[in-house]
Amino acid sequence: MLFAFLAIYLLTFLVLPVGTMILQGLTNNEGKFVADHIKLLLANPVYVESLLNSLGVAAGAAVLSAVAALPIAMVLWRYHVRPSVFIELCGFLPLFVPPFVLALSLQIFFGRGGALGMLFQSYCDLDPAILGLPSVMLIEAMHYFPLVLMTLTMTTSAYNQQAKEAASLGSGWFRLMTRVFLPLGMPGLAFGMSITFLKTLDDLATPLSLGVTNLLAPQAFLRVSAYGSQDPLSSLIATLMVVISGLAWFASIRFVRQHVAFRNASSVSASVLLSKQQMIVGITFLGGILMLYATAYAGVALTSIARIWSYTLLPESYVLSHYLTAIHSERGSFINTLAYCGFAAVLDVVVGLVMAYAIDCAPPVWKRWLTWGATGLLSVPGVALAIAYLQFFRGIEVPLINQAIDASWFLLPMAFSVRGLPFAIRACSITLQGIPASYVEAANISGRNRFRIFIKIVLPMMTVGLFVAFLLCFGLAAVDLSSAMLLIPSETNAPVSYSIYLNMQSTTGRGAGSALAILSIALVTLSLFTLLVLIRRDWKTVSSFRKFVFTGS
Amino acid sequence: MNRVTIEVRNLDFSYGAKPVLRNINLCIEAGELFAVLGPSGSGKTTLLRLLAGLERPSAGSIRINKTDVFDIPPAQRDVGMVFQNFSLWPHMSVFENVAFGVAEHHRNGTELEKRVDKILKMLDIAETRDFRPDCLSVGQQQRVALARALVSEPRLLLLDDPFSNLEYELRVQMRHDLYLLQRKLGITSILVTHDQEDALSIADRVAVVAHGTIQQVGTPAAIYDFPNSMEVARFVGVTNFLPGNVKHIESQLIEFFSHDIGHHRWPISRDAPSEGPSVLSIRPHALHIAPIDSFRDGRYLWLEGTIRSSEFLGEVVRYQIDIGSVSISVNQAHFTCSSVTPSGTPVLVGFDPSRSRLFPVSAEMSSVSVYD
Repeated sequence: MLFAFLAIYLLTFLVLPVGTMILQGLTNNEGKFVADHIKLLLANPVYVESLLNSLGVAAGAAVLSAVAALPIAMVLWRYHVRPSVFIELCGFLPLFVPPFVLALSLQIFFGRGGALGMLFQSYCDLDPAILGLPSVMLIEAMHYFPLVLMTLTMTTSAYNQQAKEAASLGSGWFRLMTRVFLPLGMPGLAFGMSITFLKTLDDLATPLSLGVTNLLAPQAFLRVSAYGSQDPLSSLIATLMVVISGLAWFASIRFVRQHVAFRNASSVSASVLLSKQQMIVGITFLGGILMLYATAYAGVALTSIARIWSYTLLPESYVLSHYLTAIHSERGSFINTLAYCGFAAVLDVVVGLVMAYAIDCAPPVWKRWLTWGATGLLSVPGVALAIAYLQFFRGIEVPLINQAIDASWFLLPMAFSVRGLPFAIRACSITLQGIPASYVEAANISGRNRFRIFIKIVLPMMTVGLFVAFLLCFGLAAVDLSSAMLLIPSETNAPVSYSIYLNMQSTTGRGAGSALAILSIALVTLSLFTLLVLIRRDWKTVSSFRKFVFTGS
Repeated sequence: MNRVTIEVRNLDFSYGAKPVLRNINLCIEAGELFAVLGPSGSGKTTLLRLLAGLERPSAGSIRINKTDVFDIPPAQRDVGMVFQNFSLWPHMSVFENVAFGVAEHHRNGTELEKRVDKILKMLDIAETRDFRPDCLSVGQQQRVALARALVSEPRLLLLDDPFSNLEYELRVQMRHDLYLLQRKLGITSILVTHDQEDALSIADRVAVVAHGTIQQVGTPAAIYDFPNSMEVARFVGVTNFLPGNVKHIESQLIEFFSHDIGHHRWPISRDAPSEGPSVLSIRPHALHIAPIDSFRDGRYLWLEGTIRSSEFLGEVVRYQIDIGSVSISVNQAHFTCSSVTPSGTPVLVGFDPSRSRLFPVSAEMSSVSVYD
């Protein structure tokens, strides 16, 4: 029965909508395959330019983030500095904070009205508006850089100290890096880069915040806004995005080995004493990165407490009223977020658990293909999925409430759940694999039925893992603006991320929008910290500063 | 408790196309402590899992008290099992772990509590009743695993290498305790182990398993003293193998010839191999060392050699002695202040032929080295 439910879910909310969307872009009104739409797309220089720009910006962001992360990871590895679990988790913050917040924060300083932007205009005659595409690329690279750094650090640290020391005996720095560090780090680097590529390609809010529209995602969005969901060109653009994402992901699979994704270095080897030199290196690099991001987000942080701030380096006076406004006026969006993301995350955990179980039980040959298929879901961009839903569910009425399904909020959590599914499957797989088979066999021999064994033995042992999966999916859904911007039927149904976006677009709402953004970031950090305590299950182990920042004491 | 017999007939098991167990035949008596001894990957744990019902055989039958249990699921076979890593559920207390197995049959809370407390007391872990497994020592964890297996009063106790995680002293202690407990309860028990000391010290009988087949079944002393193949001799204890040829002289004598040790004759035994290439197997402790010019006792056959090296092992000194082109191990008991004979010393090595074994060498085996 569970597998039937799984099949219905995947067919209804993934295979059929995406399939229909692809057909919509490739067929004419009579349902015959024609190349007319492709010709039309290629004949329009705006779309060709958007395609090239999207490829360039996504690839550029992935390469830039890798170029920035590699030397830092090398230094940390060379000096045996292993970040703590908390710092590693913070590396995953970019997945839970929308990049447009960083874009708007930097715009406050460097934009036309910003203090530094004015300085550039006055002294260098440089208009910040001309930095459209490069600024998108830079912001995406900066946003996803911690993710690349941490996946790289985690994969290279997932080998014990002795192995590292053995490798360093008799090897020079360059040889050590090229022969040991890079091959070890390749899976993490490939994973981080491919996630950066996919997320950048799919990002809708960041380019729109910066006024950039000559990219695929904004073009698809603009076409749906202008011509409606049945527009074949928007389907074709969305299909193009699915194809590019799919190719990028499957190209990276060769380098990303399945076991690497969420491996935690600190759990692999025992803690070691950190020397003074290691502490200095660690604090310099990790502290430097922290300072950089604190400065980058300072724009939003200061706006959230600024009464008046224009044409000056810092606000003239400060208030806390934006927070009160945000909490009062955006209560609805908080509730919406909790409802949509909570629903999507619960669904993800249930579906993810069933799929992880199915993959676990599958014969070895199937296992590999199923795992690839499950992670391949990552390559369905939010914009494409939203367009697919709008087309597939158009006009279908919900029986009891007599409302069209595409005019209700229902599609939004379903899109969130499909987008979060690969992460849920991975988290559930790791959790399932963590339960030794002999634990269940011991219970089998004791004479209990399957259901009681699941309830009394398996489920309690999976609690933390399932909670991690829930938080992961919840966080990912909370920042998924690409689907939300297309699927929200009205502003009253908006989640927090959309409200931040809307508020930040207007001068009067900027304070409240910034306050909302800061509150969201604080909530995400708190959730990560809760995760850390859950993983360690002991507050004392994280209460010392050294253990808080580094693995080791 | 019920005392049950186990009969395994023509049992086969394969993982896909890979055969793991082939033609296993066993008969285990009621109340017996039976050990299955074999190296890693020999199929001994698989045999235990088949008995528990955790795997289904490809062919053959398993009978418990003459009832075929082929289609009976693990829960209804009435067996208790101690897993190699104990597999105690980490989220449950000791009491909950032990009680889990009986709760289904005994819903009466007081009776359940009495039963669990009784077994905890019997295994000397009553004070750990409310602790979680991670708060216990390894020895205590093993006792909890044993309590969980025994609490439902199973007909058959299966032990999957239960001492492998223990330090030597604790291992000896736990082995002894298990032996006493098994004798007290009289429960038919099967111990699977790779450690010959565990098997030989407490089992009533031992089955040596290698390459998925049973090589020999017998009492520990019989297995050690009269291994029926080179495989068993090599796995159980340390043995010297000397390759040569066997010739029967009349009906009473056997002659063993080797380029390294020359011609030697001794009375023929019942299990002597037929004429042809053979291997002479002698345990290191069955060999004696004497000075080269000493009197040669007629009860022994004497070989001349030179000490190559020696290892001091505490109770014994193990010498490596070159005889011709072969090197053999000889154990000599060590006593306080006795000295170790230096390397390079020429010596006589004597052995009683009745304490040696001769194994035929097939054409297939003769192509591989027979030196241990």
